[in-house]
Amino acid sequence: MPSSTAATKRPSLRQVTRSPQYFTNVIQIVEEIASARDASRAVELLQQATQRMGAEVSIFVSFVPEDRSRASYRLLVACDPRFVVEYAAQARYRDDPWLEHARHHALAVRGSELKTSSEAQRSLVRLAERFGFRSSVVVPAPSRTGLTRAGVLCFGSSVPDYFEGEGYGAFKLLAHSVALEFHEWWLARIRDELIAQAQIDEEDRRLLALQAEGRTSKQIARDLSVSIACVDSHIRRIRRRLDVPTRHAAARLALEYGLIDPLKSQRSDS
Amino acid sequence: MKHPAPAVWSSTRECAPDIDTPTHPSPRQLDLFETAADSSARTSDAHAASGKRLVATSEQPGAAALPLAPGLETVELTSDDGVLRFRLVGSATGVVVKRTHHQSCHERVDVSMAFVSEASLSQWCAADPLRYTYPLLFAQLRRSGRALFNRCD
Repeated sequence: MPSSTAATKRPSLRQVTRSPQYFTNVIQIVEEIASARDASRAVELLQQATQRMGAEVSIFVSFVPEDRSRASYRLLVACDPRFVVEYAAQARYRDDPWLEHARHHALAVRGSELKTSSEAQRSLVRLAERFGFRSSVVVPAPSRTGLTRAGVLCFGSSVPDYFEGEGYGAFKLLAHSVALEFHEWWLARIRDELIAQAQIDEEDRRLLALQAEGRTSKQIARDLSVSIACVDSHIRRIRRRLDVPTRHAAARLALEYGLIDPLKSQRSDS
Repeated sequence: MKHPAPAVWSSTRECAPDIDTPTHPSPRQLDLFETAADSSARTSDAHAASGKRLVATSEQPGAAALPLAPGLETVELTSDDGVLRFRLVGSATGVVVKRTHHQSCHERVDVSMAFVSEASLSQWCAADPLRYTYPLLFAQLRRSGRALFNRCD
């Protein structure tokens, strides 16, 4: 972590955001995120974005917190990695005010604006401060309505009140773009991983989409011009490959992990 | 609703063991173990690299496992029980490590982070609470990290 002497030499957020190349430099990184080949490249891009935006450290988390049967947290870390070790060792995910904000809000806030309601949350804030998040901005990257997966990008500075002054508006504007790009990038990786491991093909996805629309086997069989037994058998095979107990769970999983388009399902429902 | 984890989280195992109640070696035992592991590694690095659980790969399909292509080195390490996995990638600025931990049958945590020096990777290894549960894996992690940093040099 930078010393306080080094920290005082840093330019202010106002000075950084007033640079003529500020937006261009960050947007260059945003445009590269979608094509990052793996997590290691994504980490490099997050480091570059953090630096160009004027922050010192950052961390991006993509998570499915609601259902313990398939909870997952995926982190890209552009700060001292020991922060994550200490954080994870105490299983802080369920007490994290940053994740909590991302679950229920779509707009960025400064860490100073977040209310902490328990000692566990206050303890997490103190831990983050030790690792360079003395001043912080929490940027949610929400998924579509009805899905539990969400993302959150947190920027930090060791300079107290760094994000409180002028320049925060410009910073926040770009922060949303960066957060959304990383969120979409993770979703694409997770979807591809699930498709490969469960060997889901186009026919499976079509069936899952019909199931997600709430159709019965009889209706699906009529739509696809096959027998009801054929539909049931196919769904059973998909269910086994996805390792879920019911066809509804299979459809839910397909929606959550982007195997099928939730908008299409919602449109059909209405 | 409780139901089994999807295949994506549990493709290589039936169920993760309870990692909260491992039989930990003492720090003294661990030091002795790691010293022995490092010593062994120095005399047979190539052998270790081709072992069952330590797989060094290039991202070029069909390429031989060793030697690795300069600038694009990847090492994958997995614990015997499949609970903990590391993927190390050498980059221009250091080494990026992806740590995947199946905390239970139902919960998975992926952390990807960059290290700019061997010392920082070593400090991180020394802080990880699972180093006592998987001493061999962490010894391999340190060695692989050192090798990647030396390549970067």
